[in-house]
Amino acid sequence: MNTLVTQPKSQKKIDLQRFLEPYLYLSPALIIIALVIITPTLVGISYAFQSIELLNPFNGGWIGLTHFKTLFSDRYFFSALANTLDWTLISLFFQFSLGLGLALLLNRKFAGRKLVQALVFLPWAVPTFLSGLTWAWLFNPIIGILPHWMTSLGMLPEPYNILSDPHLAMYGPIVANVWFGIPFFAITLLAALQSVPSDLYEAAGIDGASSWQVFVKITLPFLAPMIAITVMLRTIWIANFADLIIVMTSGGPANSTQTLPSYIFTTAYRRLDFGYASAMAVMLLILLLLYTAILLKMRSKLSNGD
Amino acid sequence: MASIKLNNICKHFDQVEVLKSVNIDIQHGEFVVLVGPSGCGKSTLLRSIAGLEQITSGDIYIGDTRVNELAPKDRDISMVFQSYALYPHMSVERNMGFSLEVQKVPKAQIKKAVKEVAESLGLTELLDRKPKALSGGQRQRVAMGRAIVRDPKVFLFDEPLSNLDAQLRVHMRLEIKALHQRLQSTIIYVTHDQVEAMTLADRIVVLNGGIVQQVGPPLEIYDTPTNLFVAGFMGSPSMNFIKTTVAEAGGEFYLETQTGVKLALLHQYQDLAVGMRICCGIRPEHILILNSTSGHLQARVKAVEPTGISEQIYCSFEGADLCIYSMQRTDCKENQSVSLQLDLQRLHLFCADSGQRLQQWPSIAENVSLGQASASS
Amino acid sequence: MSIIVFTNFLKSVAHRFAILLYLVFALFPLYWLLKIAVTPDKLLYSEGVKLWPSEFTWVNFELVFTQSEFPTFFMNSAIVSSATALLTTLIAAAAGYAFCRFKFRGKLIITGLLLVTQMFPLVMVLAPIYKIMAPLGLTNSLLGLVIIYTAFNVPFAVFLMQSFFDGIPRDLEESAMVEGCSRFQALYKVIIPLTLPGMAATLGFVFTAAWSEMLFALMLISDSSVSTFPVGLLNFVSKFAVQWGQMMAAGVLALIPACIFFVFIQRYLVQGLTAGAVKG
Repeated sequence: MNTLVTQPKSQKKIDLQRFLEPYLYLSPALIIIALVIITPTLVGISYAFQSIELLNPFNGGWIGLTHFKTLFSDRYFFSALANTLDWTLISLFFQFSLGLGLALLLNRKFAGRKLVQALVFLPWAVPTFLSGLTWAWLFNPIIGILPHWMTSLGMLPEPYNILSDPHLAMYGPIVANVWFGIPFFAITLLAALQSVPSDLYEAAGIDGASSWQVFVKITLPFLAPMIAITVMLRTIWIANFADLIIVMTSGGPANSTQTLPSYIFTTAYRRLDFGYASAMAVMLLILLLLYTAILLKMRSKLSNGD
Repeated sequence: MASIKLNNICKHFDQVEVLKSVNIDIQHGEFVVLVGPSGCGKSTLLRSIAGLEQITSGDIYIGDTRVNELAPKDRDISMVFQSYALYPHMSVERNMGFSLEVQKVPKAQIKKAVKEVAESLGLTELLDRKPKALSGGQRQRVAMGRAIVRDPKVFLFDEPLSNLDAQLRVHMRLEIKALHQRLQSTIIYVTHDQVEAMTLADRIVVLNGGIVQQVGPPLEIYDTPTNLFVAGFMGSPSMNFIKTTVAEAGGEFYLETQTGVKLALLHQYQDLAVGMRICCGIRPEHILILNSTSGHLQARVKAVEPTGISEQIYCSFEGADLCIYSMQRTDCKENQSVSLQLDLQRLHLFCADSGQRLQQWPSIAENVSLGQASASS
Repeated sequence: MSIIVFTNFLKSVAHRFAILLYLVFALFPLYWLLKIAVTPDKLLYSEGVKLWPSEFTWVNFELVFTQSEFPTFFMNSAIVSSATALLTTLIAAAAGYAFCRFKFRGKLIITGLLLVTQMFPLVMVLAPIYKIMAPLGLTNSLLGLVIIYTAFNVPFAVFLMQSFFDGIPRDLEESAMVEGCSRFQALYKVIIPLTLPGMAATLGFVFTAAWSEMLFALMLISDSSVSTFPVGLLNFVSKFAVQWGQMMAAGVLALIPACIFFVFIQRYLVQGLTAGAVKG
């Protein structure tokens, strides 16, 4: 009966084992993140202060703040900044409001809901490069139908590709982005909606609240925390998201759709000017951090005010 | 099977002391129940014995082995969890044989062991099912079967019946008792239900705030609770307490309530002094409702709870509630005044400040018999 | 009473109609992709605006399979995505388990670190990664892509796996440990089998993400023999921009794995995105 396989170890050794065990499980994740994300980020920050042009390898070395000086006189940088703002805010507004609408529609029993849900969320699963191509093709008057419809509706004088019109081009990627992003908001908001206790609705129904009152007084306050966090994260995500623009317009025509990330990508990928690209990336990072800080500050102020 | 010795067990969670110097000796083959309100540390103590929690200081012996540093798997114990913790992806048979499977016991031998235990618990029909397809009582029984198959030195039960409905609980209680009689194994059983504690235990350990309040056989704990906590916790309905002060008349001590009701003391107590504040305890079954007004105290009925077999009458006395347990039907009505007769032989006296029980001097009759015994020897 | 019935009827008609609009918006682009892919070339211009062509053909798909490099791209993407999914899930399962079952120093900091990587501008690391990878021979290499994709998918996958582990009662593991298992045995005999659906979902998520990744692939891959689908398709578009039917056919093919995985992981979408949104 009393056959003990393991010899009792000393308490110290056991404590050490206990201490190390979680780190052992974590280490692969931490190592790969440190090597592939953290290190390149730090290296990238250092690039911002160096001249690194692959096409011009002898023109290297530390150059201090030169890139940042260039940046402040680069008119494309500022137009890209303005475009980033447009791109982010317009996309976010439509993604969110249409996503909320969809979530509300789906938060109700009807025949075939599961199927509808699967189909209506499908755009989220479509690879971004494919979404971009698909929408680019839809806007192409030769094989796409959208220009013809828009002409019929009187939105365009004749069927032409809005992606080649500097005034309208930005709406192409935005439409694709909205199409792609609605499911994200719909899914998260639907999950939040389903966690609203049903007795709250029942109580409100007994108290004689109209459905609009129920929405404003019960549903929205309940969703508020979820909305706040998803909107914040999504803003950052959309601001960083360049795939659709690169696929659909490559920033053109005449830089009219160039956002900061797409400009950075083009600078690194086409011009192979890694130094300048990194300097802009550092600026982008600073701006996003500022945005987050301001938002968090506002939030803590709001919750302190309560 | 083995004895268990707990020496000065202390346990901190961060700054909070969960167990404060717990000492318990458990004999080979004994059924010990740890009982206490939630958060008293009873589950932590059990999990420390299992090795699922690390104790901060002290020693745990199972048999002659100090097991502080042993992993749970090497302590040779079985544990039945409150949630039963049956593995959802395994059949009942694999669940029951799991410990042997891990020890790499030959398949045929596992099958035989599982079969025997399953027969003894009436589980043979269920061996191919998954836990999902079992009722609560069946799951409970599988969990017990799984523990038995291992043939451990010690069985640990962590509130095993609290997820069952009342009827099934009574039934399983009897089965556990029968199991213990059959296996003669050492069992430590945690519960917050003092009826389970009373009915199952050879010895009860009452815990509160991480401190052992009292250890003893069930009836000893019921009859002579060592402090206010144990007195109030053990017993359902629980003991009544009346605030009194010690007074003296003609060399005899008596108790006086806040409104001047006098209660005579029929025993001699240690450390009694005039003016001392005493919490006087009396169990509900030791109060009688009289038809006359000749009882010790007059009270007003607040509520009557008939249970069929008995009646519980709640009265208000000096702003506090008194519960009376009556095997007779009393026809009491709400707001009626009643006269209550206390069984003065069975008063429990607790010091109101320390909460400790006042010990009785051995009664005169006992003194006499002791004297005779010593004289004759 | 009849007025109430009538307004209810109107409401439900409006509800269905609104849902129909969303469905059309969601599915029409994909439908259009399919429509062009099965339209014979000669009808492309004459019937470009029609909702369904008068003739139907599989020839574009045949051409894609036999005459183009797309089968190679498809294979490359499949290899990269599967390898990334497997590797990420393994790493994330270990880390998620640590987050779920242990208290340890630095937990908050590591969580914060994982969160920050979620909102990082990807473009920030494009250039340095290229510079670091080039001398190691990891540009123009599928292995290079797998390493990068794994790193960028691990944080979200960790949160996902943690939420799956959180859903498994601790009692099960403790019971196994009392019954004679070491922690590791308890993990692979009891916990892992119960987390399999969660792992499958994580696999699906990561596969889909890797399948659609484009920026790193464009940056690091120039050789068409190691091109993944996005790189191949985009090069194809810029070189042969008039072979519409074939491009669309290739697009439809690229869509298929994503759709299959989507159906597979649909059930976990809400759980996963909520976990990601709340924690990450």
